[in-house]
Amino acid sequence: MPNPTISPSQESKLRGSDEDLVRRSRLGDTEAFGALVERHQKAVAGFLLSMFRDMDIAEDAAQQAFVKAFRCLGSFRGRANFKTWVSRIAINEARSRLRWAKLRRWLSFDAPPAGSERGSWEERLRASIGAPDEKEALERKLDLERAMAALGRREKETAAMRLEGYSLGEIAAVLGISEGTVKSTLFAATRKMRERLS
Amino acid sequence: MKEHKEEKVEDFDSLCSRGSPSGEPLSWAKILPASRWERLAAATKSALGARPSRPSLVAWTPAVAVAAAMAFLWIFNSPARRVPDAPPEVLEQLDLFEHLDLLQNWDTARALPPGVGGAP
Repeated sequence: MPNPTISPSQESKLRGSDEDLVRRSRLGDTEAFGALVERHQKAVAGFLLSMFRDMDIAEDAAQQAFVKAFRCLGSFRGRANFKTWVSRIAINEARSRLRWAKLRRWLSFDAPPAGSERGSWEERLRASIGAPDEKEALERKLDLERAMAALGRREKETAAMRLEGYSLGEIAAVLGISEGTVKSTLFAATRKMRERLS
Repeated sequence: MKEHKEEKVEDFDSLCSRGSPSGEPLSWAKILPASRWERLAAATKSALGARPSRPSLVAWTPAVAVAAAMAFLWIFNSPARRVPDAPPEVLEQLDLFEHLDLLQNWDTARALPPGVGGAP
Protein backbone atom coordinates (compact mmCIF):
# COMPACT_ATOMS: atom_id res chain seq x y z
CA MET A 1 0.00 0.00 0.00
CA PRO A 2 1.55 3.38 -0.94
CA ASN A 3 2.50 5.59 1.96
CA PRO A 4 0.56 8.90 1.62
CA THR A 5 3.25 10.91 3.40
CA ILE A 6 5.93 9.97 0.83
CA SER A 7 5.87 11.39 -2.69
CA PRO A 8 6.22 8.96 -5.66
CA SER A 9 9.72 10.29 -6.45
CA GLN A 10 10.79 9.70 -2.83
CA GLU A 11 9.21 6.26 -2.89
CA SER A 12 11.17 5.20 -5.97
CA LYS A 13 14.31 6.59 -4.33
CA LEU A 14 13.73 4.33 -1.32
CA ARG A 15 13.34 1.19 -3.42
CA GLY A 16 16.41 -0.66 -4.53
CA SER A 17 18.79 -3.27 -3.26
CA ASP A 18 20.21 -3.25 0.26
CA GLU A 19 23.68 -2.59 -1.22
CA ASP A 20 22.37 0.52 -2.95
CA LEU A 21 20.64 1.76 0.21
CA VAL A 22 23.78 1.09 2.29
CA ARG A 23 25.88 3.02 -0.23
CA ARG A 24 23.50 5.99 -0.03
CA SER A 25 23.32 5.76 3.78
CA ARG A 26 27.10 5.97 3.96
CA LEU A 27 26.86 9.32 2.22
CA GLY A 28 24.60 10.51 5.03
CA ASP A 29 21.21 9.77 3.42
CA THR A 30 19.10 8.98 6.49
CA GLU A 31 16.03 8.31 4.33
CA ALA A 32 17.88 5.45 2.64
CA PHE A 33 18.83 4.04 6.03
CA GLY A 34 15.20 4.49 7.11
CA ALA A 35 14.21 2.22 4.22
CA LEU A 36 16.64 -0.42 5.54
CA VAL A 37 15.05 -0.06 8.98
CA GLU A 38 11.57 -0.60 7.54
CA ARG A 39 12.78 -3.60 5.55
CA HIS A 40 14.59 -5.51 8.31
CA GLN A 41 13.57 -4.24 11.75
CA LYS A 42 10.53 -6.51 12.02
CA ALA A 43 12.62 -9.66 11.66
CA VAL A 44 15.28 -8.39 14.08
CA ALA A 45 12.77 -7.25 16.72
CA GLY A 46 10.86 -10.52 16.21
CA PHE A 47 13.74 -12.83 17.11
CA LEU A 48 14.75 -10.50 19.96
CA LEU A 49 11.21 -10.77 21.33
CA SER A 50 11.57 -14.55 21.52
CA MET A 51 14.86 -14.12 23.36
CA PHE A 52 13.74 -11.47 25.87
CA ARG A 53 10.03 -12.38 26.21
CA ASP A 54 9.37 -8.69 26.73
CA MET A 55 8.11 -6.43 23.94
CA ASP A 56 9.55 -3.18 25.31
CA ILE A 57 13.06 -4.57 25.87
CA ALA A 58 13.05 -6.31 22.48
CA GLU A 59 11.98 -3.11 20.69
CA ASP A 60 14.57 -1.06 22.55
CA ALA A 61 17.34 -3.55 21.75
CA ALA A 62 16.31 -3.65 18.08
CA GLN A 63 16.32 0.14 17.91
CA GLN A 64 19.72 0.25 19.60
CA ALA A 65 21.10 -2.27 17.09
CA PHE A 66 19.98 -0.17 14.11
CA VAL A 67 21.31 3.06 15.62
CA LYS A 68 24.67 1.34 16.25
CA ALA A 69 24.66 0.01 12.70
CA PHE A 70 24.01 3.52 11.35
CA ARG A 71 26.89 4.97 13.36
CA CYS A 72 29.25 2.14 12.35
CA LEU A 73 28.34 1.99 8.65
CA GLY A 74 31.92 3.03 7.84
CA SER A 75 33.18 -0.28 9.26
CA PHE A 76 30.68 -2.37 7.24
CA ARG A 77 32.82 -4.00 4.55
CA GLY A 78 29.95 -5.59 2.66
CA ARG A 79 31.28 -9.14 2.95
CA ALA A 80 28.02 -10.16 4.66
CA ASN A 81 24.67 -8.75 3.61
CA PHE A 82 23.18 -5.90 5.60
CA LYS A 83 20.50 -8.04 7.25
CA THR A 84 23.00 -10.53 8.70
CA TRP A 85 25.34 -7.71 9.76
CA VAL A 86 22.66 -5.80 11.68
CA SER A 87 21.30 -9.06 13.13
CA ARG A 88 24.75 -9.87 14.45
CA ILE A 89 24.88 -6.48 16.16
CA ALA A 90 21.41 -7.17 17.59
CA ILE A 91 22.33 -10.61 18.91
CA ASN A 92 25.45 -9.25 20.59
CA GLU A 93 23.32 -6.51 22.14
CA ALA A 94 20.83 -9.13 23.37
CA ARG A 95 23.54 -11.40 24.83
CA SER A 96 25.13 -8.48 26.61
CA ARG A 97 21.80 -7.30 28.09
CA LEU A 98 20.91 -10.80 29.20
CA ARG A 99 24.31 -11.25 30.87
CA TRP A 100 23.87 -7.97 32.78
CA ALA A 101 20.33 -8.87 33.78
CA LYS A 102 21.56 -12.22 35.07
CA LEU A 103 24.36 -10.54 37.04
CA ARG A 104 21.98 -7.94 38.50
CA ARG A 105 19.56 -10.65 39.57
CA TRP A 106 22.39 -12.66 41.11
CA LEU A 107 23.67 -9.62 43.03
CA SER A 108 20.25 -8.58 44.27
CA PHE A 109 19.23 -12.14 45.25
CA ASP A 110 15.62 -11.31 44.33
CA ALA A 111 14.40 -13.90 41.88
CA PRO A 112 10.87 -13.01 40.71
CA PRO A 113 8.05 -15.36 41.72
CA ALA A 114 7.65 -18.18 39.18
CA GLY A 115 5.22 -17.45 36.37
CA SER A 116 4.70 -13.75 37.11
CA GLU A 117 7.02 -12.54 34.33
CA ARG A 118 5.50 -14.87 31.75
CA GLY A 119 2.00 -13.92 32.75
CA SER A 120 2.61 -10.22 32.34
CA TRP A 121 4.24 -10.36 28.91
CA GLU A 122 1.57 -12.72 27.57
CA GLU A 123 -1.21 -10.51 28.94
CA ARG A 124 0.28 -7.40 27.37
CA LEU A 125 0.56 -9.14 24.01
CA ARG A 126 -3.06 -10.33 24.20
CA ALA A 127 -4.16 -6.80 25.01
CA SER A 128 -2.39 -5.43 21.91
CA ILE A 129 -4.29 -7.72 19.51
CA GLY A 130 -7.91 -7.16 18.53
CA ALA A 131 -9.15 -9.45 15.71
CA PRO A 132 -10.31 -13.01 16.76
CA ASP A 133 -8.29 -14.84 14.06
CA GLU A 134 -5.21 -12.87 15.11
CA LYS A 135 -5.88 -13.81 18.73
CA GLU A 136 -5.98 -17.48 17.76
CA ALA A 137 -2.69 -17.20 15.91
CA LEU A 138 -1.22 -15.43 18.94
CA GLU A 139 -2.23 -18.31 21.22
CA ARG A 140 -0.52 -20.81 18.89
CA LYS A 141 2.55 -18.57 18.85
CA LEU A 142 2.58 -18.35 22.65
CA ASP A 143 2.43 -22.18 22.81
CA LEU A 144 5.55 -22.25 20.63
CA GLU A 145 7.26 -19.65 22.82
CA ARG A 146 6.54 -21.74 25.94
CA ALA A 147 7.99 -24.78 24.18
CA MET A 148 11.05 -22.73 23.24
CA ALA A 149 11.69 -22.00 26.91
CA ALA A 150 13.11 -25.54 27.17
CA LEU A 151 15.83 -24.80 24.61
CA GLY A 152 19.46 -23.96 25.25
CA ARG A 153 20.86 -20.59 24.23
CA ARG A 154 22.07 -21.55 20.75
CA GLU A 155 18.97 -23.63 20.03
CA LYS A 156 16.77 -20.75 21.07
CA GLU A 157 18.66 -18.21 18.95
CA THR A 158 18.56 -20.52 15.93
CA ALA A 159 14.86 -21.36 16.33
CA ALA A 160 13.89 -17.72 16.94
CA MET A 161 15.63 -16.58 13.77
CA ARG A 162 14.21 -19.43 11.69
CA LEU A 163 10.72 -18.50 12.91
CA GLU A 164 11.25 -14.94 11.70
CA GLY A 165 12.05 -16.19 8.21
CA TYR A 166 15.86 -16.24 8.24
CA SER A 167 17.40 -18.67 5.76
CA LEU A 168 19.85 -21.32 6.96
CA GLY A 169 22.71 -19.38 5.40
CA GLU A 170 21.66 -16.18 7.15
CA ILE A 171 21.43 -17.91 10.55
CA ALA A 172 24.84 -19.49 9.99
CA ALA A 173 26.35 -16.09 9.13
CA VAL A 174 24.78 -14.34 12.13
CA LEU A 175 25.82 -17.00 14.65
CA GLY A 176 29.19 -17.70 13.03
CA ILE A 177 28.53 -21.45 12.61
CA SER A 178 28.17 -23.78 9.61
CA GLU A 179 24.86 -24.50 7.87
CA GLY A 180 25.21 -28.14 8.94
CA THR A 181 25.35 -27.05 12.58
CA VAL A 182 22.26 -24.88 12.04
CA LYS A 183 20.39 -27.92 10.68
CA SER A 184 21.38 -30.21 13.54
CA THR A 185 20.56 -27.47 16.07
CA LEU A 186 17.11 -27.10 14.52
CA PHE A 187 16.68 -30.87 14.67
CA ALA A 188 17.46 -30.91 18.41
CA ALA A 189 15.16 -27.91 18.93
CA THR A 190 12.31 -29.62 17.04
CA ARG A 191 12.59 -32.74 19.22
CA LYS A 192 12.51 -30.76 22.47
CA MET A 193 9.71 -28.47 21.34
CA ARG A 194 7.60 -31.39 20.13
CA GLU A 195 7.91 -33.05 23.55
CA ARG A 196 6.71 -29.87 25.23
CA LEU A 197 3.87 -29.31 22.78
CA SER A 198 2.45 -32.83 22.97
CA MET B 1 22.38 -37.61 4.22
CA LYS B 2 21.74 -34.16 2.76
CA GLU B 3 18.08 -35.03 2.23
CA HIS B 4 17.87 -36.18 5.84
CA LYS B 5 19.17 -32.80 7.02
CA GLU B 6 16.68 -30.97 4.79
CA GLU B 7 13.93 -33.05 6.42
CA LYS B 8 15.04 -31.81 9.83
CA VAL B 9 14.49 -28.22 8.72
CA GLU B 10 11.12 -29.07 7.18
CA ASP B 11 10.09 -30.75 10.45
CA PHE B 12 10.87 -27.57 12.33
CA ASP B 13 9.03 -25.41 9.82
CA SER B 14 5.93 -27.61 9.85
CA LEU B 15 5.90 -27.79 13.66
CA CYS B 16 5.99 -24.00 13.81
CA SER B 17 3.30 -23.56 11.12
CA ARG B 18 0.53 -25.39 12.99
CA GLY B 19 -2.47 -23.09 13.31
CA SER B 20 -0.87 -20.48 11.07
CA PRO B 21 -3.45 -18.78 8.78
CA SER B 22 -0.89 -18.41 5.97
CA GLY B 23 0.63 -21.90 6.41
CA GLU B 24 4.02 -20.31 7.09
CA PRO B 25 5.88 -20.49 10.44
CA LEU B 26 4.25 -18.22 13.02
CA SER B 27 6.51 -15.18 13.19
CA TRP B 28 6.11 -12.14 15.41
CA ALA B 29 6.56 -10.01 12.32
CA LYS B 30 3.23 -11.34 10.98
CA ILE B 31 1.32 -11.76 14.23
CA LEU B 32 1.80 -8.34 15.78
CA PRO B 33 -0.20 -5.47 14.27
CA ALA B 34 1.44 -3.43 11.50
CA SER B 35 0.86 -0.21 13.47
CA ARG B 36 3.26 -1.46 16.15
CA TRP B 37 6.04 -2.03 13.59
CA GLU B 38 5.39 1.34 11.99
CA ARG B 39 5.74 3.07 15.38
CA LEU B 40 8.98 1.22 16.06
CA ALA B 41 10.41 2.13 12.64
CA ALA B 42 9.45 5.79 13.16
CA ALA B 43 11.07 5.83 16.62
CA THR B 44 14.26 4.27 15.23
CA LYS B 45 14.42 6.74 12.35
CA SER B 46 14.07 9.67 14.71
CA ALA B 47 16.81 8.20 16.97
CA LEU B 48 19.25 8.10 14.03
CA GLY B 49 19.69 11.86 14.10
CA ALA B 50 20.12 12.07 17.87
CA ARG B 51 23.61 12.69 19.20
CA PRO B 52 25.17 9.83 21.18
CA SER B 53 24.24 10.18 24.85
CA ARG B 54 26.83 11.77 27.14
CA PRO B 55 28.82 9.36 29.31
CA SER B 56 27.18 8.74 32.64
CA LEU B 57 28.45 9.96 36.03
CA VAL B 58 29.81 6.47 36.72
CA ALA B 59 32.04 6.69 33.67
CA TRP B 60 33.39 10.22 33.94
CA THR B 61 33.88 10.61 37.72
CA PRO B 62 36.82 8.15 37.92
CA ALA B 63 38.28 9.66 34.73
CA VAL B 64 38.20 13.17 36.25
CA ALA B 65 39.70 11.87 39.52
CA VAL B 66 42.59 10.17 37.69
CA ALA B 67 43.20 13.28 35.58
CA ALA B 68 43.24 15.49 38.70
CA ALA B 69 45.72 13.16 40.45
CA MET B 70 48.00 13.16 37.42
CA ALA B 71 47.85 16.96 37.19
CA PHE B 72 48.70 17.25 40.92
CA LEU B 73 51.70 14.93 40.57
CA TRP B 74 52.90 16.71 37.46
CA ILE B 75 52.68 20.16 39.09
CA PHE B 76 54.65 19.08 42.18
CA ASN B 77 57.23 17.25 40.10
CA SER B 78 57.60 19.83 37.39
CA PRO B 79 61.24 20.90 36.72
CA ALA B 80 60.39 24.49 37.66
CA ARG B 81 59.25 23.53 41.18
CA ARG B 82 61.68 20.72 41.88
CA VAL B 83 64.37 21.59 44.49
CA PRO B 84 67.76 20.32 43.30
CA ASP B 85 68.86 17.23 45.24
CA ALA B 86 72.00 17.43 47.37
CA PRO B 87 74.99 15.42 46.09
CA PRO B 88 75.01 11.81 47.38
CA GLU B 89 78.19 12.20 49.45
CA VAL B 90 76.64 15.10 51.35
CA LEU B 91 73.59 13.02 52.18
CA GLU B 92 75.80 10.12 53.37
CA GLN B 93 77.75 12.48 55.62
CA LEU B 94 74.50 13.88 56.99
CA ASP B 95 73.43 10.36 57.90
CA LEU B 96 76.77 9.70 59.59
CA PHE B 97 76.54 12.85 61.67
CA GLU B 98 73.02 11.98 62.75
CA HIS B 99 74.25 8.59 63.96
CA LEU B 100 77.15 10.18 65.82
CA ASP B 101 74.78 12.66 67.52
CA LEU B 102 72.58 9.79 68.59
CA LEU B 103 75.53 7.91 70.12
CA GLN B 104 76.76 11.04 71.89
CA ASN B 105 73.30 11.68 73.33
CA TRP B 106 73.14 8.09 74.49
CA ASP B 107 76.51 8.35 76.26
CA THR B 108 75.49 11.65 77.92
CA ALA B 109 72.25 10.14 79.11
CA ARG B 110 74.03 7.14 80.65
CA ALA B 111 76.36 9.45 82.60
CA LEU B 112 73.45 11.15 84.39
CA PRO B 113 72.44 9.93 87.91
CA PRO B 114 69.31 7.78 88.11
CA GLY B 115 66.04 9.72 88.21
CA VAL B 116 67.42 12.67 86.24
CA GLY B 117 66.17 13.06 82.68
CA GLY B 118 65.29 9.93 80.81
CA ALA B 119 68.22 7.69 81.76
CA PRO B 120 67.70 4.01 81.10
